[in-house]
Amino acid sequence: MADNLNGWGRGTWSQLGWGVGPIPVTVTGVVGTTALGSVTATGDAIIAPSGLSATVTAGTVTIATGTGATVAVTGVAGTGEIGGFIVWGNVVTLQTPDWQAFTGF
Amino acid sequence: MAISQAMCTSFKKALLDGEMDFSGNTGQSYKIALYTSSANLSATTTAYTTSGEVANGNGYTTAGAALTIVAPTTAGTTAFLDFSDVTLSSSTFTARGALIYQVGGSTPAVAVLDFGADKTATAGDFTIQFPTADASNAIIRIA
Repeated sequence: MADNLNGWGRGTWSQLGWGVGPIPVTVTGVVGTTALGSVTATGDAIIAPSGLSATVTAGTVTIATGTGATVAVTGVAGTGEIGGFIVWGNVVTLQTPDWQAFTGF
Repeated sequence: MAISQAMCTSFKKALLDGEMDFSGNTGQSYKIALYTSSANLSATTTAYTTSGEVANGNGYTTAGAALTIVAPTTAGTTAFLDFSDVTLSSSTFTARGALIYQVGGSTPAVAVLDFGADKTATAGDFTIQFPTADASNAIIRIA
């Protein structure tokens, strides 16, 4: 950045003549560092934070309830059987025969 | 193809051979497999088969569900046994019948069950409800 000075004392000894031109001035930049100080709050303070608000858009949910099936089965039965048999023995020859025809069990 | 309810003939022989044990301390286990109407099951069925079985998935696992045995007992002159009801959840399939069989070995058949019609579950429970455990209705009876 450059600027100009005018009038007496505008320059150094023997710099320029009377009424002759301005003295050019060159300024350099200023570098500064800023920082935010801490803030201390005193006294009673009531902070009432407002609630957070969010908008939720739910998608479509499909619940399949389905259809079950209950099968009431019936049992199976087996029949146990005992086969026929014959009991026999030696004939007592001394007896008087009274044999009869066999009619089965 | 058809599913005819029956006590499998081979099971009767297996009983006499002492190859079937439903007692409380049995080391054997049993399953119930489900079949579609394309299956061919009857008293002549001797073992578990994959032919006509409900496809794996959608709530059903091929080879069927494990059965929990209610130990045999008697009433009058009839001996019988029972199984706990079986529920297959989240099921989507159709079954027309079932086969109860022994797990392991040659997977010998016990009994064929005919559901009477196609039974379908759609995203629901498929429940097999066994009959009252008594001398007249139990799932397996010997009179």
